[in-house]
Amino acid sequence: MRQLLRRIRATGRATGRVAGPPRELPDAEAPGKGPELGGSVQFRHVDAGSCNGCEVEIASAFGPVYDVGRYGARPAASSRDADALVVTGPVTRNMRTALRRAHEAAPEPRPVVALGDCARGCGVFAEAHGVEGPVSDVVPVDVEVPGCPPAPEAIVAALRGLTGR
Amino acid sequence: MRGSSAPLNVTVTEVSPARLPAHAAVLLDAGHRLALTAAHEDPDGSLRVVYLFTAAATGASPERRDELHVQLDPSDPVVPSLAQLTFPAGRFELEMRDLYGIVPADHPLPKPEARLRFLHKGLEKLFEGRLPVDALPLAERVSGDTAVGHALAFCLAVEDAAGVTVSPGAQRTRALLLELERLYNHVTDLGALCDDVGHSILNAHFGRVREQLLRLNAATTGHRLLRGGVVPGGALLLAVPDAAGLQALAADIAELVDLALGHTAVLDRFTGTAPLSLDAARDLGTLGYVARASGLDVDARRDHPITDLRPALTVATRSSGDVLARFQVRADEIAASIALVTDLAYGMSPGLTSYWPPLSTPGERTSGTGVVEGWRGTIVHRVELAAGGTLSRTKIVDPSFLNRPALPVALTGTTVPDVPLAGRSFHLSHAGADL
Repeated sequence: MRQLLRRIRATGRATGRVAGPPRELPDAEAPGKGPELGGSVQFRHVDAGSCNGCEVEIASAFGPVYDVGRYGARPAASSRDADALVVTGPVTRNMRTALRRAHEAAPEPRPVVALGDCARGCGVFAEAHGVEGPVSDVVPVDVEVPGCPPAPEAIVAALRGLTGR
Repeated sequence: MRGSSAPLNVTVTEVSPARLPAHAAVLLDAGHRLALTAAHEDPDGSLRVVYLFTAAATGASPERRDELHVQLDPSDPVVPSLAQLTFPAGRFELEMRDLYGIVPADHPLPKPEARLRFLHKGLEKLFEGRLPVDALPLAERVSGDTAVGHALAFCLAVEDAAGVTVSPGAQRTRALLLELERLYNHVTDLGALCDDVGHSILNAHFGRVREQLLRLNAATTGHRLLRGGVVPGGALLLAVPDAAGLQALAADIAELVDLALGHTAVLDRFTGTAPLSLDAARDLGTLGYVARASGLDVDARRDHPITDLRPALTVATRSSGDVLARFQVRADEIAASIALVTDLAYGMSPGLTSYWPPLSTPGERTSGTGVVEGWRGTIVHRVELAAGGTLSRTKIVDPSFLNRPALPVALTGTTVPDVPLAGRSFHLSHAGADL
């Protein structure tokens, strides 16, 4: 325990804050459903056919450096506990029903974030025989985050657009 | 001859379906493993199955790659199952049945249940008809966290097929990038394993180191996931990792590992959880840290080398096969990777080295294989190039495809709260397994 406390103190001294300073709320176009969520949004992530690249940067966004949690965004383990969905990947034929059900299980207004170029338009997987289409073909999309994968800053900015903080 | 590695020793044997099991048994008895099985629908409508067997380099004898090619009757495509000889064959056979309609006769599952393949995109088909350079973005996205591993296996296979020799320096650059990929993924998962047992502070510390590694990736190749570093015929390096910075990271990570394993609650949750026995690990054909944590001494960096990594390369193994062993193997591999990067970076200079496109394109169909130790385990690609140099078939085997059946075996007797922990200790790529 003492060693852990020493490590925590040493980290603070050596690098200052690990997380960057909080930034002003980006001037993103306010998505219609954001204000209803009251500044605290639980996100259910659904991998609808992603290559895992976006997941690396989602982990970065929720990690200690970008720390989107301080703006009111939290991961949820089930869409029944979630306010919003974050969907990655082109939607595969075999995930179409699962994605639709995950969406229906979330309480209204359940905004959907299509995260990454594949979620927005199938990316390099367009034309693949097992791909159904972009997320918007299966569930209504409220926010799009471009990138392959999007930078953690872009993910943080998009989620802040929904928390409004 | 490819780079500084030993010349590839590939033999191709055409066998009839009836003779296939006997030929396979001879190779398996000689210490080969079934690394890949690929069905092909040739332009004339005929069906052909290629079985690739590999054997490790030992002492003075180079690695071996032996292929059995079986021509099938398209009106009655039946091939004898090899699942009784080696478990992975059964997995490949189900895949061939689902995607090519080839029936495995006497498969141990008489009516094999529908496999769900939630994330099946049809990735291999997308490669077809493209030039290798145009297919590279697909190879980098087989599993996004394994951009280097899959791009390298793909490039090695393409170079093998095209008869291109890559310079020893470029092979060393590739080996370096492969270790950077191992580093950030191992660090991520050590943190996640701590998080799964409730030690979120340590996860935050591992996350802090992870971000430094992702930024190092961006400085080295221009991409946080190391895309663009491995190219057909060579490698691209924007900057060489700094040795002093790496040593500081090594010390930082070692301290975090000590903190984790010095914590009784963490140690208690890891110890004895989801054990995979050596026999099960061997029989199921597991690969990577899952295999090594159960005592299987397999590592393609040594067994199928693209460049000589001695003496910096050490292959870590454990014998208990539990979550603790998988944690420890990966902690040891972090230390080994940093030693390798330091060693490889010495005297390395940034820049692009590539011998592509080849001076002449083959006038007939050629094939090639690539074997790489990605961070999850051994990745195997096999490509066929049509006349003109476009890809006519790409077969990809991610280690998760072969490790996935071992997870339920390890989970036998595991309590429900430990299931996510056990799953994370395997960390399968479903994108890589479902393709």
